[in-house]
Amino acid sequence: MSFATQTVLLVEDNQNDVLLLQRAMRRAQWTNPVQVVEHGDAAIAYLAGDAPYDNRARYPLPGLVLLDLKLPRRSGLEVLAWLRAQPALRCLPVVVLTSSKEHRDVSQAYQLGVNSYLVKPGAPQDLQALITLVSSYWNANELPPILPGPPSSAGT
Amino acid sequence: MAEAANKVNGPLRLAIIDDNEDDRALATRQLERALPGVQILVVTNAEELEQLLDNDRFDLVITDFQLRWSDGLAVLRGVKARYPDLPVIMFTNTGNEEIAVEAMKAGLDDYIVKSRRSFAHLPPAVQAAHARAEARRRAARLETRLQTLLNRLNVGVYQAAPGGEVLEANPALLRLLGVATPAALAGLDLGVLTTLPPVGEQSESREVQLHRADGRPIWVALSQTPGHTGETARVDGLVEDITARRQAQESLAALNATLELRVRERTAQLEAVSADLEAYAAMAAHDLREPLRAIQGFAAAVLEDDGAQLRPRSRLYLERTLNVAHDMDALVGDLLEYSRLGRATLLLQPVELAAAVNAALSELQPLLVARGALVQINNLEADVIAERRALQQVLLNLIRNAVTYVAPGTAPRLHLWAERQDHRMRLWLADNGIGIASEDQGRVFEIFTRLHGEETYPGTGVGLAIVRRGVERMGGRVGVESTPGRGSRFWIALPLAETYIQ
Repeated sequence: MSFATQTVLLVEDNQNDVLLLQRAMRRAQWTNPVQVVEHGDAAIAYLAGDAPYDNRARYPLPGLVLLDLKLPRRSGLEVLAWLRAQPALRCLPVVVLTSSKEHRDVSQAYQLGVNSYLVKPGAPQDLQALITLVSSYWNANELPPILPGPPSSAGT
Repeated sequence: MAEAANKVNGPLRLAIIDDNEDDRALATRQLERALPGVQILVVTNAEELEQLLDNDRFDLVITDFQLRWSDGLAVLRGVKARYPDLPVIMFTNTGNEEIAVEAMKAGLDDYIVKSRRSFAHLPPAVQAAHARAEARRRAARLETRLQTLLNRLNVGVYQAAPGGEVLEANPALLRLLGVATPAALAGLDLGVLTTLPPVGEQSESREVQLHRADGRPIWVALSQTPGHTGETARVDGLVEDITARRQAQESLAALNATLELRVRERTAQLEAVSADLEAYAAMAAHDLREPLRAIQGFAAAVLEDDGAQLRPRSRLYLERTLNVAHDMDALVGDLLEYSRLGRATLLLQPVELAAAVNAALSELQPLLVARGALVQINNLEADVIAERRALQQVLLNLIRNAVTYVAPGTAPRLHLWAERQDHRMRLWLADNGIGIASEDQGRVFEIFTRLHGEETYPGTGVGLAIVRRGVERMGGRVGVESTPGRGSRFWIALPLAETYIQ
């Protein structure tokens, strides 16, 4: 299964960032469908296949999660901790994409098993460059993990 | 009064009471021969005796027993009634044993049977009686003085039976313990006074607590020594009231404790405020920079997507929007860095100066290339005491400053070198910039000091404030020498690592 066809789940509460990231993805010619959720609880519901995300045809299990840290309700780190505790999702690639450079956030994210920690750049052209880089990294070279299948609550 | 008769100094004055003129003459002759300078007063009737007792000063009385107008016992009692300590010698041949015993009971000092030969016994008897009386007087005087001292002393003095009761106590001790009479001491627990400390600790005074008759505790300094009354062992002790001193010590200790508590509370408050600031700074980083990023992002998007179709003026406005957002982002970043340098605990350790300079230069490489800057480096081989990140920030801001304030059309030339000054390393950065007027040199390191318009030389007014705060937090100093139009020489001085290790 090629990464190019897999869904990317973007967990981001800031609508400006969502718009700018989607634009950057378009310009980087991402082919992946992108699903957006706005807070931690929604991210967990999506990944678990709970309502309103219980239709896997419409809301496929993603091949990559782009995760903001400062989220309403459950934080990005809480989502990450939950995800790594699910046997079916333990290997799902997660990239933190945040404006926080705080040492504590970085070290906690890596301790919870994040695959990459990226800081949102200030300048627009840098954001474009970053998204292009993420796309080409996952498309060109990265072999995605073979997931054992959706979690039981999703109902295979 | 006793004082009138009790002669202390001067020649010895004796009163002889005898009706027999021959006996008086014999006695006088014997006494005057044996006691040169002695003065003899003669009493031959009751009137003369009254006169003597009332008005005269004399040291001793020699009286016969049988008198026509009285007898020796009456004379003795009369004298002793007025002057109990004045010696009286009875010299008679008419007395008997009964009389002698009775006279002794009444305080007679000596009894000599009068005979032809016994006149010679008078002088030594007089001398002995006089000496005894003198000794008694001296002892009495000493005792009075001692008693007065003890009474006036504010130190309690006592004698006790070891492990038993307090036998004697001066008024000070009674005052101290709040009792009226020594007998009342029996009602108090004074075991600590009557028990001797172990040998070796006896000479030192101890601080012990006693309880007064009214139950109030007092602190005393107690010193005890073993003593004796005859064969019986005693404890002699001195008791000094130190309650006020102890209370002062205790209130001082209490004050110190509350002071420490207050310092801890204040520190906790400050830490809380500092933590608040920390949170505020993080909030500012996130919440101030996020909208700026969005403004830049959307402005750039419009320029990229539709820039060609826009009228030139609209393009200009969008470009300005982009620049303003970018400048504000830089200002927020600088302020965060400035505030971080003020709050953060800096972990100071030896840092290679050359490596720090090179790291800063390589981070600024795009800017240096864009400005066509030439950089020369000499003699940076030294380790200074610094925090790597803070030193990095200091150097970035210092170099950025040097590259920025250069006359238009001039390529910046930077020269960096270091020289040792005592225990510090001074890093110099000379530039070919526009320079700083001498009246402005003192305030270039102050925050928000801007000497030029935004259009000519853009800047946040925070860069050199970061330089100073960072260096000062690392125990160093900053300075500048400059001639307008001919460039500036900025310097930072930091402690040398070798002196730190020593």
